[in-house]
Amino acid sequence: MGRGKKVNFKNFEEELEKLEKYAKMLEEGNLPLDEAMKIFEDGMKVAKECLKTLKEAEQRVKMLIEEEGELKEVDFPFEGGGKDEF
Amino acid sequence: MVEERFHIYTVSEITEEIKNILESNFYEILVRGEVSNFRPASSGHYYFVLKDENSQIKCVLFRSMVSEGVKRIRDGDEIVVYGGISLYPPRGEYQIIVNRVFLQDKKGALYLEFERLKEKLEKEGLFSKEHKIGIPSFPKKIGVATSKSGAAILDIIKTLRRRNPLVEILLYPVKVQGESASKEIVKAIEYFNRRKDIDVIIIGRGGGSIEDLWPFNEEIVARAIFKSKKPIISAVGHERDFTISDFVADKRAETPTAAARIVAMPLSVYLERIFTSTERLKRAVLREIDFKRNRIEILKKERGFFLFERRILNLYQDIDLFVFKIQMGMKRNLEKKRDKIFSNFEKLKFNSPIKQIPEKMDFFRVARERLIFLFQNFLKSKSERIEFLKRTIYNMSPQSVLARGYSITLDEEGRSIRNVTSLKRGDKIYSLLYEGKIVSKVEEIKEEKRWEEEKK
Repeated sequence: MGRGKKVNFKNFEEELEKLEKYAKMLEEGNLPLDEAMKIFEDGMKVAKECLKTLKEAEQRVKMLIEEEGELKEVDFPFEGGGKDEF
Repeated sequence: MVEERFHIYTVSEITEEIKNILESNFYEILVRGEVSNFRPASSGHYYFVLKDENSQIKCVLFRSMVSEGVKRIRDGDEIVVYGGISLYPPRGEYQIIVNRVFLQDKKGALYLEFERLKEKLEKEGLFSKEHKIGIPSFPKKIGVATSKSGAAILDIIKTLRRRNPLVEILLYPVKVQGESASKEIVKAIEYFNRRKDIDVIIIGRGGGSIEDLWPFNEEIVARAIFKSKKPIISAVGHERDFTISDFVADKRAETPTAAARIVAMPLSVYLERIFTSTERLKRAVLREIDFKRNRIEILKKERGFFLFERRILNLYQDIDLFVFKIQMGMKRNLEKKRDKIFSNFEKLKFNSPIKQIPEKMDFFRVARERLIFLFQNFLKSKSERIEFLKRTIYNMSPQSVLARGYSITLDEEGRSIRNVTSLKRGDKIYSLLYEGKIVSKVEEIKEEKRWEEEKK
């Protein structure tokens, strides 16, 4: 967990919204053709990027530990630990 | 006169006076004792007796005061009752009107405390709907306050992994039972509230006894949840366990797994959004091209437009492929399982007795055809034989002899005449030919030996 590519979720959500905005712009029409084409191509790029993000996303699980009075984030030992005690 | 020296009470008067003295002096008391005859009357009120070695006192607990904790009380339990003395004039008996019961064992005490706190916080409005914050549909990062070695965190991680790996998890490890647990949970809630990047908080633990779950019933935890600016999901124990945390939290999840489901949209929701958008993009741009094309008739056959369209479709195909790949990835696990089930099913099918039926059917069909064939052959050979016999018989019949030109001679009585000795001149004879007969008179008789005899 937490290895792999860093996924910036905020960007993902923003990109997704951008994509939806592009779709709306094109649907409203009234754009010169080359501009429409540009938006279309940009949109497709964004869509591909989003899909790539989804495909490569790996769950990031961090755990807080106290070190010298301060909380630090470390990877959660998912595979190693986990005895069922509460 | 007695009446003059002593005031004589009526029974009602003295009872009334005693009632006043008792009720004004003992309107709020705590009494400890052992319970006996503890059972509800048909009205739902409980009448029982509290006693120790030397004394006993009657008690009544009205139906409205009966709680789940009270129902667990059994004869012989040591309890403390809180209430006031009252006198019931029709019977001249005094009793304790009980407002609250405290069990002396730990579980009972916890149960009553749970009810006390629930009632108190409810009155304060900590559970009311208008204080609840909505859970975001697309949280980016969730803060989890639970044990780092419990089942709860593993369940949450497993569920999120399956559903949506985009959601980040930050675990604040806390004790979830014992003395210091509630303080740690409060600290975790406060910590998550200080962080900007946490969108929603899950607090919880796996199942356990009421003592185990107790930290989630403590007032400081309830107040910390109420104070939290960030939405909190309480996921304590199993479906049937309710804690104070559950009531105060913005959302109660039946289990930690259920909490994870609430915070994570399945990936398919994102896929759907991307797919719909690209679909809209494609449709819009193609329509745009079509539109322009119609307006400028001369460009109809222009290659530029054609290439535009091509490019669009190529790009679109890329996306389709991508969506397909992701969906495949999502399905893979499912399919593996399905295949396993399927192959087991195939194995079963292969060995099934049902499968043998067509084979047996074949066998029967062949046997049946063979039988029919043999029988027909049998019939045919028989009919040939019959035909032969028929012909033979026919050939031998007088009819056929006549047909060949012979005739039979009969006397007047219709007996066939085999030799001449039975005839004399003038006798009438009948000759049967193939068709018709001749009647004639004998003119002359010549006796001749038959030709076979001559040969000898």
